[in-house]
Amino acid sequence: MTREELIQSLKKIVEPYVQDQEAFQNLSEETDFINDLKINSANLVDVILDVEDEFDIEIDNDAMEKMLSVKAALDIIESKLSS
Amino acid sequence: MIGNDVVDLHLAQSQSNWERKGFLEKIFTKNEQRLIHTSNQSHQLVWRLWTMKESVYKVVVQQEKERFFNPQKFECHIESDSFGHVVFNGEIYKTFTEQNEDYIYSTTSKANQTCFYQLGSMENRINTMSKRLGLQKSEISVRKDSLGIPNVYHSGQRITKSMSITNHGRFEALQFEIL
Repeated sequence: MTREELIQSLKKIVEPYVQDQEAFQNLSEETDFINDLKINSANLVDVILDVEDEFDIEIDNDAMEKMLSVKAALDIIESKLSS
Repeated sequence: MIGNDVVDLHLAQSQSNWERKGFLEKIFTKNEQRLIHTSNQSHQLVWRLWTMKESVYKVVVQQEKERFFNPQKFECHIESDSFGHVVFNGEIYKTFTEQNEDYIYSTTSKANQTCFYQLGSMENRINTMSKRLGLQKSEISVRKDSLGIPNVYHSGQRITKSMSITNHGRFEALQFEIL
């Protein structure tokens, strides 16, 4: 899967939890889940569980700790998929 | 340092399904999970523990100047309906919780510090602060730094040592300590 395809899958996953639609329209790798998309921090857990289901990977606590932005999420998904 | 967190219990019911597979395991330690599973008020307890963790996290971010997402690192201990403490990296942070059927609000401060707080239904932030501080509304503003940490500024000068803002659904709360 290309980086662009990963972004599109991730966009679908986060959409139900987004509270700032404008930031969502302009989503890029630099987008922050909490500061930009205003995702409720409890819903960040849902994003992580959805990512695990979608890509059939396990995100441990060390990886989860960094998962605050689109870029960090993509890096984690890519590294789990390749291992 | 100050940290606070509020959860609107009605909104939480529709916004988060904590009974979803894997949800509790991501957030809570084994001990906390046991407490939740044996409680007859699980919904209330899930969000009580969550607000305790979040309020302490907000203090830790101000100290370490780095954001992260790892709720399990904050181990909650409940002492009573109001009092508790959270252990993070071997340090103990005392917490105070206010709860009723509408909301749960937790706050922590590492030392005995004076602060003001306002918990209300979406009351305008600046109004609240201008009243508390006795300053003109037009002269005060709240600015967040790149970590999302807020502070109050008066005529461009920072006047708070620490501040924490939380809002969820119908509720907003803020606490601050003057420099």
